[in-house]
Amino acid sequence: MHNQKLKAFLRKRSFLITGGMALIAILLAMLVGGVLIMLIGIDPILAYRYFFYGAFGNIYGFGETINKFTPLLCCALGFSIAQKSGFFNLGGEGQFYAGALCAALAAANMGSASPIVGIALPVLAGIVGGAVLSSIAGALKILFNANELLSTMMLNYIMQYLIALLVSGALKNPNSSMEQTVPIPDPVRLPALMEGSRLHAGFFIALAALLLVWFLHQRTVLGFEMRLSGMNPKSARYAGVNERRSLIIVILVSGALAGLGGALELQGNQYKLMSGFSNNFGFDGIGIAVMGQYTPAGIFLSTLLFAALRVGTGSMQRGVGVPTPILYILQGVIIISVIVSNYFVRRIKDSLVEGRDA
Amino acid sequence: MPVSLLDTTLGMAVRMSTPYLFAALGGLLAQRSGVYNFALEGMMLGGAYFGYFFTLLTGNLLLGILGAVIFGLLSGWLLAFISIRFGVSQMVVGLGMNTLFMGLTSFCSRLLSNSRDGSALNLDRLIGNIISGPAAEIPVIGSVLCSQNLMTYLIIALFVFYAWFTRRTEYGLALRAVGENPAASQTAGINVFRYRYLSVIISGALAALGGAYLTLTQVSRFSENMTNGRGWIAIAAICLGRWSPAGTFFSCLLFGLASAASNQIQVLNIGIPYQFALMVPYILAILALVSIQGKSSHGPAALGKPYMKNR
Amino acid sequence: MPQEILRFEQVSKFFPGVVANDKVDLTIYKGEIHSLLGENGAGKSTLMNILYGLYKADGGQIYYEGRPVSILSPNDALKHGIGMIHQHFMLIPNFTVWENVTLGQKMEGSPVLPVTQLKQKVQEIAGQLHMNIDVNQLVGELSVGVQQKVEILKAIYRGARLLILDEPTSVLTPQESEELFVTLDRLKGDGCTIIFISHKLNEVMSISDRVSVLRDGHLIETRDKEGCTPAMMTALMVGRDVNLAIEKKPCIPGEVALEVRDLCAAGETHASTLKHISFQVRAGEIVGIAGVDGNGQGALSNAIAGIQKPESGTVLFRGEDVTAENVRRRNERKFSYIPADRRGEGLTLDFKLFENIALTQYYKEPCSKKGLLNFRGMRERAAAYMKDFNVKAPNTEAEARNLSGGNQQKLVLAREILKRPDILLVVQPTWGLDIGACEFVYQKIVEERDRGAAVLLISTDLEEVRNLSDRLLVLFEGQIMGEVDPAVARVEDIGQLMAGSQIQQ
Repeated sequence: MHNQKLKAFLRKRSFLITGGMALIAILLAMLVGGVLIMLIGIDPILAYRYFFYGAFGNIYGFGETINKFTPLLCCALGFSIAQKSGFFNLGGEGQFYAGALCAALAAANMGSASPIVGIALPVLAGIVGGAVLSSIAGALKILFNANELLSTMMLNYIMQYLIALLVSGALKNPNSSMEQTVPIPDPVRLPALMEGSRLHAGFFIALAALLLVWFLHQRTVLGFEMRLSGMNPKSARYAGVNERRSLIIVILVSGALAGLGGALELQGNQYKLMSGFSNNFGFDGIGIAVMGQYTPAGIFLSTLLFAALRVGTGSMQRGVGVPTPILYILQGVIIISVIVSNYFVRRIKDSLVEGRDA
Repeated sequence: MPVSLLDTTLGMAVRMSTPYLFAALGGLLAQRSGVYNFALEGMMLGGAYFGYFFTLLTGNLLLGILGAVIFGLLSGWLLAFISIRFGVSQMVVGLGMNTLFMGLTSFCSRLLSNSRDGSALNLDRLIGNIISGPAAEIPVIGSVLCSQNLMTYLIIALFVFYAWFTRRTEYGLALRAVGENPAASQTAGINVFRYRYLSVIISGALAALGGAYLTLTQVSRFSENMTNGRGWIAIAAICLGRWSPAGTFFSCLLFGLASAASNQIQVLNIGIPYQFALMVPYILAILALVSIQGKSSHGPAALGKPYMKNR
Repeated sequence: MPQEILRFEQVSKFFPGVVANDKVDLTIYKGEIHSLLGENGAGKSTLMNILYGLYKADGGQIYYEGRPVSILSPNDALKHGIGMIHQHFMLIPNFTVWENVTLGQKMEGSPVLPVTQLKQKVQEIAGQLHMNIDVNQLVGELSVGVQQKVEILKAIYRGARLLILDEPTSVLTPQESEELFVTLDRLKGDGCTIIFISHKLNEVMSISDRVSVLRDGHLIETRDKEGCTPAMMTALMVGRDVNLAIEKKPCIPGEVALEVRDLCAAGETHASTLKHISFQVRAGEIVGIAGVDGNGQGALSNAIAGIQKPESGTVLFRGEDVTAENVRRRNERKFSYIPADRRGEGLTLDFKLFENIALTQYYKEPCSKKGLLNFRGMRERAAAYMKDFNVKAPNTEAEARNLSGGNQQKLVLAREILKRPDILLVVQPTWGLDIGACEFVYQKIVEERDRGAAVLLISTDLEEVRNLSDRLLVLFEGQIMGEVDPAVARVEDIGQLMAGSQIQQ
């Protein structure tokens, strides 16, 4: 009887199961990380103390975490919306660069525009840049049925070399020995929000993007079509969805979101473009979307986690000398554990359904 | 183009295609059994690092290669276990493993470089060519066929073996059947899971060997992320080769040629920025994807579809 | 006294939430043709899958030739000489006949395939079974009937002495079925034992020596065929008396509502490609299209619904050319389509019921307004529709996946029929449904016809189209072979049309 009550309870709140599994995945990653840290002769407790202090323990670190949150959230949304319509956009990294590049070009030419326009136009340019790059893969998919997984991945590499080419050539800062662009002028930068940290206003733009994407997906006719064609293309055709139109919109929005991330990172955080500007934001977006189970709340929480991982591992490096690539080990373990846990979540949910017909 | 330039370019093309060949054969084997190996990139990276690390540690190239193979087998098992046992998205598992191995190799490599000074990080001996003397002096043939090392001959032999094995043996027939229709294979008395596991595990070893080739014959040193998308290009080569061993083989040679051309553009310094040159293989891969479409697919029918026990 | 070859003792199998087999006792005699009769979901296939080692029984014991056996895999089954021919063929289209037949068979010694020898052996066995098969052909290029022969060949090659056939005739023309029965009789003559799974009474009556009836996982009764009548069998199957004879008022055809003119549309194979088809459906009549699956049914329904562009020809709704119109514009012309694949096409199983109710009407009121979804409108409509069509589900928030087949089909019917269409296209409406749900579906289709809708019914179930239709067309290899009056036409004549030959006078 008690068991029945528990089942009914869990049936209504299945996010508890998913959340519990995600927690296990995080703990597993921490465990693997801890063992690794111990193996290289560093006290894991101390290291993790640095981790938490760095990510949450002070105003500055918290600001850094949120500043990482902003581009990561954009990339995760970009991957997620495409994935939900059955388009595998692995090109977040390249689209992020494209967005940053277009934003940088626009920012350099803002001159004496009013502050609002001066900030908004480069952001818009970034959105367009990301959409343009994803539309290349989209066009290849729609016109030639080219596998988008591979084409977006190849475009990532091409984009990285293009950025390397530009920052060492046409866009190079003549007054610097480094291969990077001229920093964007002050009026174009996103304003800082909090004393004692570098937290910038891009955070709210990213949050607005999250809400907009959710609204588009769940509340509009267009979103209904996107969800339908992602879940069951055959049924979508039967229902009269214009699949091609729906796919084109999804691809553009997906690239635009990653591009937005690039623009916000440029205008809010780094101010100049260089090789390694992205530092894997696009790929992290994929992991975040997977971990967040493609739901708004899930993505929000996992973005927070992945942002904290970035800042925290950086702090571990500075504090006790744990090499920063431990970040990717932790991420890898989390992604793999979460995807395995999906199997168990499905089984648990199946066992909760009662009186199901064969 | 002078003969000597053609000569070196072609010889280089074969050398640069060798890692693609290893990874592509691994990917092909896994895909034939019905499982996507999207972790080729990470497995190559791991093979490159561990091949290098064990050679540095023991001073013995053979032990280094063994280290890479063991890493490959283990990573192949992990991929097999997760994607076959749990039937989850093969793409996501592959991406997760790529992230994991990228982190693991960079992590280890930083520890290593913290513990030794720069000059002690280079391998003092690499896998050398085995044919020397007059044969290697013959124009074109000499550089393409003779100035190669054992690993290149090994992968060519493995491709021939694979083609024979899948066409002419009972196990090969079963392997293809498992990728086409696992349910039918099971009712015909074939152990679907055994074939899939073995294929994916061996696939990992092959990819790792491809990575080890990079550190043990070409650059003598590991650098972070040095595979640079080669695993993904190998997957494109499989598509371009339409899942046939011969097609995949020649696609890899094509990508090797593109990489060699890219290299030569940088070396010759003919006014094209090297970053442009570096894009060549990736652009070729996109063109390849475009060129093969419209024709009917020859991929295994059950590729990427999990097959679960239902008892 | 016949000799026992196989005995099930108290065999049970449970799936989550379902009892598939409940303590089944069943004895099979050597050299008999034994039919397992039951509705869809009665547990026939599960029982046989246990015997063949594909499922593991949750209780009970199987005795083979008097000894208790444990069969854990198809390999074990084959070792005992048990072979199975599945409803969906277990063949690999990209492989040749000989490759399919010999697949998975351990060789002596070397793993290298002795190709010439193998081909010879396969060809020999085919000859013994009087099968005219080229062993070098790709299986994907063979007709369904021949593919089934390859399946039988495969089992015999592996030394099967007991053959299980799961619904073998569901994909065959009546003539091909006759041929199959001849083969089965021949195998019986050679000493093979045959278990024949079916839900078609007439077949069971014509071929079997004994019949066992299953219902809801229980073995109801085993009887000799002698002394059984179809009515008795149906009553055992369903657990009550059924009358599937459909009562219809006389047909009063009105104007032409749906017309197809000289239509050509691509199918997956040559046989399923439409070649210059023309016909009309009038308001107030049901036109049936009979034919074996894979003869162009898919291309025809897709072309009429607007899902697939035809290569040439026209589709007219009430005299207006709609060939260039998309799915939605056709739906707006009071056209409704109930597709064959309700789980994969007519519904989206991950969507909630209220979303599924909106599937073909989501873009307009009351389901949405100015591009925004109206959940209240969808839910209210869903609740009303579900009540009207007696869909059994907890509420409108349940996922379609958790409904039974019958309730899923009722959901689709409610959505498409309560639109009150002028033209109703129905494909394979009762596939996999139990008899109660079939009755409901038939009743609704006839109601629509009496209301004045033009109904085009495409079905591979010959009984179904014969009983429902006012006129009957027969489709073969993408062509209409002829039209018959279902009230008077003989099954043999329709069967000949289904097999591609004209009726002999």
